[in-house]
Amino acid sequence: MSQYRWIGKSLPRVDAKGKVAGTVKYVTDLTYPDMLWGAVLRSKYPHALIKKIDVRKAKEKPGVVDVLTHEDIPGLNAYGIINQDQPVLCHDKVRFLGDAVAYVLAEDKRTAYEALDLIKVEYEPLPVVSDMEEAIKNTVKVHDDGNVLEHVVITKGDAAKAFESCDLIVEETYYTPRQMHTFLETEGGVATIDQDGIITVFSSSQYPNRDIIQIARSLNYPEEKIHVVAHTIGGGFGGKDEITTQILLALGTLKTKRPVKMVWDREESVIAGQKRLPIKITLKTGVTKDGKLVANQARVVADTGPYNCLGSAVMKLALEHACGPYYVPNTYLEGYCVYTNNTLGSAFRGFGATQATFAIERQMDLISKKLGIDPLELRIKNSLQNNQSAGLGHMPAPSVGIKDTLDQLKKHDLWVNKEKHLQTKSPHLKRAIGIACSHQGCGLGSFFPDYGSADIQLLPDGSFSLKVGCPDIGQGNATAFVQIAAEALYTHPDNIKVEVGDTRTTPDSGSTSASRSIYTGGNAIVIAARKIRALLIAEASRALQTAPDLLEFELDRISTRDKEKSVTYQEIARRAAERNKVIQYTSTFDWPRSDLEFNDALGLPHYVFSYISEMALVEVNTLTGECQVLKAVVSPDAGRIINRQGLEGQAEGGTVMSMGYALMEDVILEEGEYLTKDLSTYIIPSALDIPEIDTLPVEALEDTGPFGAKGIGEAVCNPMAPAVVNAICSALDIHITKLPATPEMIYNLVHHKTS
Amino acid sequence: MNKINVSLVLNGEPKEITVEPNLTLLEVIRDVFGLTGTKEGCGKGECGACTVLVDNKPVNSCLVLISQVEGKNVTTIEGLSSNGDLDTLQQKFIEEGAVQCGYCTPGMIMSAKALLLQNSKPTEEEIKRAISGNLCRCTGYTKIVRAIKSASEHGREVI
Amino acid sequence: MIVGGEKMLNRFELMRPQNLEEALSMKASYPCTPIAGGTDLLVKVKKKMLAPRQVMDLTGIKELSQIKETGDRLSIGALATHTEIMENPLVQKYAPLLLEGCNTIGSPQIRNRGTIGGNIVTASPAADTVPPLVCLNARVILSSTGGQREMSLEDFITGPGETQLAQDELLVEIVIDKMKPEEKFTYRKLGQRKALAISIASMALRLELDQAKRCTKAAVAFGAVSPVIKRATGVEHYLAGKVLTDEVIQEVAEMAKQSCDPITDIRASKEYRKNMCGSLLMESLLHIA
Repeated sequence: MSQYRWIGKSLPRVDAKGKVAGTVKYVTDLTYPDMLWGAVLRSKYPHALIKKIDVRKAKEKPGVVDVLTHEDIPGLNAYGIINQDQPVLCHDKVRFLGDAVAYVLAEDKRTAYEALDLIKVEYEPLPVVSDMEEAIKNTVKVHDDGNVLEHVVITKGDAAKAFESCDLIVEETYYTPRQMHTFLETEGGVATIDQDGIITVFSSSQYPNRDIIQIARSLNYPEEKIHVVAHTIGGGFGGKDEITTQILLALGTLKTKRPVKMVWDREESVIAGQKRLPIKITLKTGVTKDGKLVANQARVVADTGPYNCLGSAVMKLALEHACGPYYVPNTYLEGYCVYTNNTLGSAFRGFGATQATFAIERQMDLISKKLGIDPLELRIKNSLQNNQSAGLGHMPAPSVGIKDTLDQLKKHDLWVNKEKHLQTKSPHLKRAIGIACSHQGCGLGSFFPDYGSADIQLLPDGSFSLKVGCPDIGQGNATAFVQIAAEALYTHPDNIKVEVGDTRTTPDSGSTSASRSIYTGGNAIVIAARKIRALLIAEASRALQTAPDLLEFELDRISTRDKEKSVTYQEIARRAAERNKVIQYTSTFDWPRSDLEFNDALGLPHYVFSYISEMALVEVNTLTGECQVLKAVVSPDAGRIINRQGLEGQAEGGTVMSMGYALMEDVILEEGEYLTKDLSTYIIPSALDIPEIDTLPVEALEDTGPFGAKGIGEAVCNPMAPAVVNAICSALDIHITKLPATPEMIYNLVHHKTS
Repeated sequence: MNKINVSLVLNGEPKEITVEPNLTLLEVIRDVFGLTGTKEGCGKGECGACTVLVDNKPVNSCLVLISQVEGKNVTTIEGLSSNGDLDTLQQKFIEEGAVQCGYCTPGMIMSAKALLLQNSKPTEEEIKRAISGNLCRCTGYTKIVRAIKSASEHGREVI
Repeated sequence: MIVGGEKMLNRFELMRPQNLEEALSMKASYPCTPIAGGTDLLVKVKKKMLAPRQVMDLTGIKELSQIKETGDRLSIGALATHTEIMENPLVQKYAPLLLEGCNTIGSPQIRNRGTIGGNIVTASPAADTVPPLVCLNARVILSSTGGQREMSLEDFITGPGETQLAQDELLVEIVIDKMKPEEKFTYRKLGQRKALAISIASMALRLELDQAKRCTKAAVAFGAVSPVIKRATGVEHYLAGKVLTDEVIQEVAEMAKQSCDPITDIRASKEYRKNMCGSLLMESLLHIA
């Protein structure tokens, strides 16, 4: 029997009713009277100098209100979360096909897009930088300062020396694809301005408060006169962390004093939107003959495309996760993040860990095969334990659940009775089981401010308002916030009115990203609730004429310990209101930090980690190379489970996303030109492609987390890809080093092996 | 461009409109009738977010010219519930946790509705086939399939 | 290059005939683009690959979606949707191969709108109804105000996106063989996923076997591996009279690889497509044998 009333329960989402009824308005559903439409002219070339931009013809078109270029940016014509290297509207140079060159504001959408045709831009095309290794050589520069955005080396122990003592060294280079977030709602929103000059941007965003800073900087406009509202949003997955349409929307409304709407259609989203960074990663991994990891060396090259966004941070997390959730005494980790004229790389669920997990988990299977050690036992043998240092050399929080997750797999029927599951109906169908583990640093890591805040107020009817900045981008954090607050406030979840992601009302709690929102928002809620409980007790003490230490909480009331007397929250609210006393508190919370910090790699390391192990049963058709994932077993450790159903939803969604990464997803470019432009060429899994999924969570409680919770959003997106690929490789006795493992790739590997 | 007259029944109510012929059913539903429950995800029939029922069959409303629903019954997500009283399917989507960001949800529910109108006791495979034209990026479909199954076991028809 | 705003269709004038006669006389007088299901046409218009000035909506024509028996042949109206075909008892009984083809198209939503006539006149090398139809010896009936003409489907499609349909004609009817109950058949599609997929390669197969398991009749056609979908006659001739031994299957699969002329595109390479013709045929024959 759980010690909690609400924590861990599968409560329905607070926003579900409006979503199933179709009545809730997403940011791209909003319209205003007198509203203009914005449309952006994108670059014609992946890399070119801009010689001249002529917008006169477009401005003359009936219905066009204004056409803006770089000359119309009042402030800094650049944005970026880490460094501001991306122009709002390009001035002298374009660096990828998604670059914005001009911006039309028109009375209706059709006129806006038709006007784009009338803008004349003279370009001088430049050679295209499309290869990561070529980029490092700086033969052609995407930015004046050179193409290497960041170069990092981190070591632990002495890897070079340790390799000498290894019984086996496995070295291989892996390549990961450009995964697209493919949120069903593309980037877009609406901005309005009122008579006082207050600009409100309703936008798909994962961090409205930071958007304000970026908008204000480019518009040279006071931050306090800008609001950003980020609800309701149709998916994020990291692709709405950086600015998409926010600055242009605000600029449009500032210039025209009218509401402005812009929604990218799918093709524009593919071309201008952010992607998971493709990574080339070479791993050299040394072990003893009984399979103990001794040393791991990584060389990562990450392609952030034309601008940083969060690319350099993604590269660093790839290094941090390149040793897997294993104890490796000696490491040498080197990473480059490079500029190219390819897609705009940025955050994507898993954030570098996803890419690194594929590589290290292939290495683990190669080691298992070469040493003849069962792949599950090899992973158990090396799994990180409390008080062991991680790959960067630092000590993670002592809530390391990786071994427990592996134990869940070991007990599962799929593993126990594997021979039964490996039977196929035909000799050309082959089955195998693959295993992979991963972990994910939660929060923003060292150095960067990482804080949260929650505002709780007792309302006159005895209910509570709860306000947290982190938007709900679809994963359900608002519901988890309600459960945490209800538990901490001894009230029913229906008694809490939650608001998230609205800078007009909610306190800044940082971004919804980095597996951080439940941990951050949850901690802030716990702190605020503690204060509110004290205020409630004080009021109850006064009402019941009883000393505070003789009182205790019951559901929605406070009673004397002997249960003789009690007072409801509603009564407390009424009495407080009579005295004009407001029972309200805004908390702040700061993340705990690791014992190490790297001055040359800001943001590393992380302190709190989630852990996960997964297993996949795969059937491959050797005649065609087709692969069907039949069964997936997911064992996540995200600390205390706040909402069981929500956790399963993350596990299932992340598993299928990772399966897509393994088998079919890639934005394909040729010299900076897109060959995949829509959802008929960029393929994500359909309902017919999914496996049966079992989720078996373990709870390695995190002392610093709300009720022991960590983060779940990202770790679930890491291990299924290598688990599937490991299964394919072991079914066919082949070695795959590149994703996605398409039927053609699998067929060719089988065919070449046998010929 | 000559406007055209189109008569249709939308969510049970007869409607007559005079519009330009190059509008899709999706544009009319969202922009003329203001029913924004029906979403656009791709505009080219590749994602199913715009799914509505035409004479009880699911279609991508982004690929239907408005003239093509002349005389037909069109049902959108808003037509499934009345006065806040949800259809069983909608209720089960909530209970089973089949909703995350929710952007695919209206189209998904319409495909499921069409299935249950034709086949009140579908198998899991039939459910997956019925929603195979509706992409979801959040849920991994698992809880959606379960919600539809669950609705089929407790079904009651609204339309 | 203009990116964005894709969903908006260009302005056009709409014609709404209420019967075939009206449609044909409009077609005779105007260079209008007919729209049936719209699942292909509207995508092309949205992608700006086409910008028709005049569009003729065929929705009002009721007489062109009938499916009926005529002796040993089955007649299917060009406006029958894939779903209507799949749900039709005559098709279920006499043309299950066509049903299988229809069943792999796009998604339920696409099958509810897309028509067999549309799938044919689009003349995509990857069309999913065409391999089954050519194996069923399909003939197409074209109408104009001047009368009707008929030809085999193989002759009708002349290249990717190209047919013999004249400016004033409409495809009105498709006539196919009735299959015998004892026939073996399959339509196998290889796509990038299990739904909403465009064929990388596909194969339709009809076989008749005698009591000695000897192949007495064979019809085979591959999709997405040649500019025009044709019967693989070399493969068919080879199979005729043979017992499906492992050696025969190996041999004919090799032959199938040489029977096509595929291209490399974003979905697959030429070499893989060639190999898949062999693999799909081998897989089906192994299953039947």
